[in-house]
Amino acid sequence: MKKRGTVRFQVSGLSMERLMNEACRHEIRLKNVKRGKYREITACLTPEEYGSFCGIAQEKGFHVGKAEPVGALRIWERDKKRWGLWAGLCIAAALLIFALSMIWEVRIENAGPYLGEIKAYLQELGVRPGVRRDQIPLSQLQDNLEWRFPRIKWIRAEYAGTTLKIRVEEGTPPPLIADQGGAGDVIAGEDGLLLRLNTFAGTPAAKAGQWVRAGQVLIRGEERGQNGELVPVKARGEAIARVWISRRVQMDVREYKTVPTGENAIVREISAPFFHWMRGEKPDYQTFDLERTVTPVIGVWFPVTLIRDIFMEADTLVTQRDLDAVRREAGESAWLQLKQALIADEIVDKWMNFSIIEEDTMVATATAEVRRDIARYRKE
Amino acid sequence: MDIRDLAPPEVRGSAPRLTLTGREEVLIEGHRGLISYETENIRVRSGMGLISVSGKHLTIAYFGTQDLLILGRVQDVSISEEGG
Repeated sequence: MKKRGTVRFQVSGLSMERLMNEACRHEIRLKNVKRGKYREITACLTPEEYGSFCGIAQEKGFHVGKAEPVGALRIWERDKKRWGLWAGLCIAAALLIFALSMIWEVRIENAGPYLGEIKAYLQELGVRPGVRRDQIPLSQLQDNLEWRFPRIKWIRAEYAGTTLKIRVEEGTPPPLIADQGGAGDVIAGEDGLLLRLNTFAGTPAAKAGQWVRAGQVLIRGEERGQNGELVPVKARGEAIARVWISRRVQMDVREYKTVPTGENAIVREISAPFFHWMRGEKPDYQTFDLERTVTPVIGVWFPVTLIRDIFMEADTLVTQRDLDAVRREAGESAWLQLKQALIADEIVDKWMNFSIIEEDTMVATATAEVRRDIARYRKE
Repeated sequence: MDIRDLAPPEVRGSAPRLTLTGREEVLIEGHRGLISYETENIRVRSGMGLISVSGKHLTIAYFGTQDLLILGRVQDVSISEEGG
């Protein structure tokens, strides 16, 4: 195999110029020639040329010193046996490649009032930092976003390094024909009271003021052609509806306490992966508190442990909790869950209902009335 | 007249070409061998005579069959008939 790189060496003798001219005649290209002491130079050559040069120099009575690698060859010669270093470099390179194959930032530009909704929708689609790039097909993501937000004229999704950039341009898009992605209806994504239906493409199948159920067709994917025939289109539109969202939390109003009876039993065990020895028997208490102490016999790395269990017999005492405290706790929990469900919604009203079921369960129901776009595209 | 006479001298092969870049670099193309090399003076044989480059810390960055590149602090470049 051809040896690459450069070696540096020293030559000494009378009339160095004569040797240099001779090397030149043999097409040996000397580099970085430096005059050292009297009758001495240092120069660089490729390892192959160095072999030829040595032959010429020795023939002419010159003394050539030992060649030392320079540049990349020097690093290789010095470190070629440091397996740990190469393994570390390989791991670092692999980690770098892995890191570059992920998305570390999602940047939404020019989204204006849609910013929150787009963020929420991207979360719903699983587009977030830390996801592999090949898991997100950009054209499909673009298409999904355009369908989800019909008031947006176009959306451009592209990668800039490890950043996913989504650029939004607002406007009313022209209706698209079926060939451009297939015909389909716009349906209601959830139950609600329709407040406004803006049809950009297709034929409206519902009207404002109407109660709609999830899955109901709001805009049909067809339009009348010039001759009165029905032409399939990609239905597009916006369906703003009043939607009620609830979250319900149940909480026990009773509190269970154990009261020790004074009866105790101690059980000791020695436990190893393939060996188990127990001294004493486990008591047949109906209710008990258990205090367990685990002590490694020799050390952390030796898997033999001494276990000491103290079974303390107890009676269960059921008491009634303070209802106001239970109510407050259940209400806070329900409200928290509701807030998590409403990421970017415009809240019109909200309220909380409490009820008690079978005298032992408090139910808190947090409800919010929001206005949201419930239009979803369904391909035929 | 030979058509080769119309070509510039460096193309005809008789004359060397000297390129001085700043005070740091002298490129001699078409040399005919090195006569002497010291850190303060380098003398090179060429088709039009002896080229002498004087300066400080002179090194030969490249010494090929046709080209010779001198680096360092160049103070003087002269050409003489002697040794040509």
